[in-house]
Amino acid sequence: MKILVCIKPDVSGKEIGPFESLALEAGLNIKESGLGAGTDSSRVDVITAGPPEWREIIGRAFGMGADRGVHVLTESDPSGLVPASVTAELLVGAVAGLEEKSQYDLILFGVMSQDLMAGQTGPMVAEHLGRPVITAGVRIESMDTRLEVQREWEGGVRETLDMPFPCVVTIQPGFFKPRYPRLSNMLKAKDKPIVKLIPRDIPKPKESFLETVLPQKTRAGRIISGSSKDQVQAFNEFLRERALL
Amino acid sequence: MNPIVVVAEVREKSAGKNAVRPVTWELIAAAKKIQAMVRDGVGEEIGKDQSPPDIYILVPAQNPLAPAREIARSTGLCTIALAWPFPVTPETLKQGLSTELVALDPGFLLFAHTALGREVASGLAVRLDGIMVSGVTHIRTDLEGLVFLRPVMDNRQVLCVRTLNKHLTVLTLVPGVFGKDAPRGMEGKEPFEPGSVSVREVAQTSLSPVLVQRSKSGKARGSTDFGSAKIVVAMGRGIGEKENLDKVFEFSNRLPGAVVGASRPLVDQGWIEYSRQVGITGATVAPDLYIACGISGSTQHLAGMAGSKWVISINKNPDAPICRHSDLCIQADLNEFIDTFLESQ
Repeated sequence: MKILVCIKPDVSGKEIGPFESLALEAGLNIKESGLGAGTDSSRVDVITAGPPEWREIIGRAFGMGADRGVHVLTESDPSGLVPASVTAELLVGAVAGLEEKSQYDLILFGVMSQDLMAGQTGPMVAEHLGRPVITAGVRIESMDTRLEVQREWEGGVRETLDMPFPCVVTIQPGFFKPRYPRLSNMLKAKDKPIVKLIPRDIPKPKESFLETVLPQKTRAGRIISGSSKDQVQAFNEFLRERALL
Repeated sequence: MNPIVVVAEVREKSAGKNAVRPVTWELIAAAKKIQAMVRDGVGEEIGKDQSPPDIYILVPAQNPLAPAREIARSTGLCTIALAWPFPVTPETLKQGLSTELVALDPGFLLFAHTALGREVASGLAVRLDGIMVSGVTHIRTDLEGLVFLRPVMDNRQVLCVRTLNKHLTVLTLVPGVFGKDAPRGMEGKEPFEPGSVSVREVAQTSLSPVLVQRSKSGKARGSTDFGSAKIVVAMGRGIGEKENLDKVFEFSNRLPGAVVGASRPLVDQGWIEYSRQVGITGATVAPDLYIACGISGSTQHLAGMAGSKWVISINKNPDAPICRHSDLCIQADLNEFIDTFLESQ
């Protein structure tokens, strides 16, 4: 089983994003429990497409147990946010090269990144590669020739589906609990080579990110600080004045 | 002018008793908003078009006729019922829509930011060489054209996105923010005629699903009656330890008519039952008073409680997004606040 997990940092820039951590955990689970566990043929690779600083999260992925790291190098973007369509194309380009010998059976993503929050990269990569995709997968299990995916719908409804390999799944919270990176693994990983890929050209997006602003205020937002006694008094007054009790 | 195409969501029930999902009316309201913005000539480029773009509503379902008629009747818009050979799935929706969309050649394609829309829209955008903007919460115009706003940075900021004019733009719109009023016809034309309804059979041969459904659970178990609650005391990640759940329940018990709710992370962690979840993937509540305890305020949560009459948040961090949507932001350690409150009673 060859698994590729696409990762990206959280908003702090230092840790693997929370949803990508779930995806990596899901991948490691399959490697550890599935058929061919522990053999050379069973492998979890991680890939990230971003500036040199993102190397750090590949180290953390090694700490969690990833076997191989791939870094598609881009220059630091001062605004920090890159359209998902660009990331998807960079990843697809890299995957084509990485799959020259054999395909990844499973490519995993977080349900979205913490910074861009778009949830587009996974389904876009799947479309480019012509592979089936399930988004919002809560739980996945390998059944030898197929993947069993439990996905979530509105209202807490869960659906279990069979998916043929090769395929793409994006993972969201609800079952997996990411393990902490182990220091011993991270130290060992210092010698692990990271495959560096330098894209020939960066795809030009058809959308432009203009600016980021603070969310619109929809209510007064009167801030009550001070002692907890004063705060409770303000709270009680608010309820009394509006006859909420 | 390329049309605006809305993909309606229909709840498919047995025996052909289908219902238009409320989010569909919001999509239509947003489509009309975009239509008006284009008609009023925002920006030089868009303004050159004198005639506003048409709106088409696609209704994909196994039995789409009744919901399509309902939409055409209450909006006056041209509605296309797409008869699926089996219940609609995200996988087959992507396959079946692409043929239809190539023919319609839309300028804007609108989906709901729901489990279905999120899964289908991005792939279709790639297939149709469109620009994808997901999770849109606001649309406005500036001198150059339309600008789409969407949350970023863990909901702490909002990103303004511009797409190329004259290029397909695919949007997923967050439910609960575009107005739920059943839309009316074009201004100045009321009372309007019902829109036309055409029916197209989607051939089984045009769909090639590889995913196989094994099972589907019904609604999550447990029931929380938010409907009659005057006050909802909701808690989030900021409560810290699991032991603090009891404290929030104690707090709620002192407020007559209060019911305890929660944000998604606590439900995902298994700390509290699903039926208490407030947000897009949980319950929508509209009590007289909503008290958000240790909730940072994700878009998905805000959409579930925005209709509350009054909102008080109790949070350590005054920069948390929830503060911008609260009447009162109590900047406090939740435990300390509740302890003091209980003592004051």
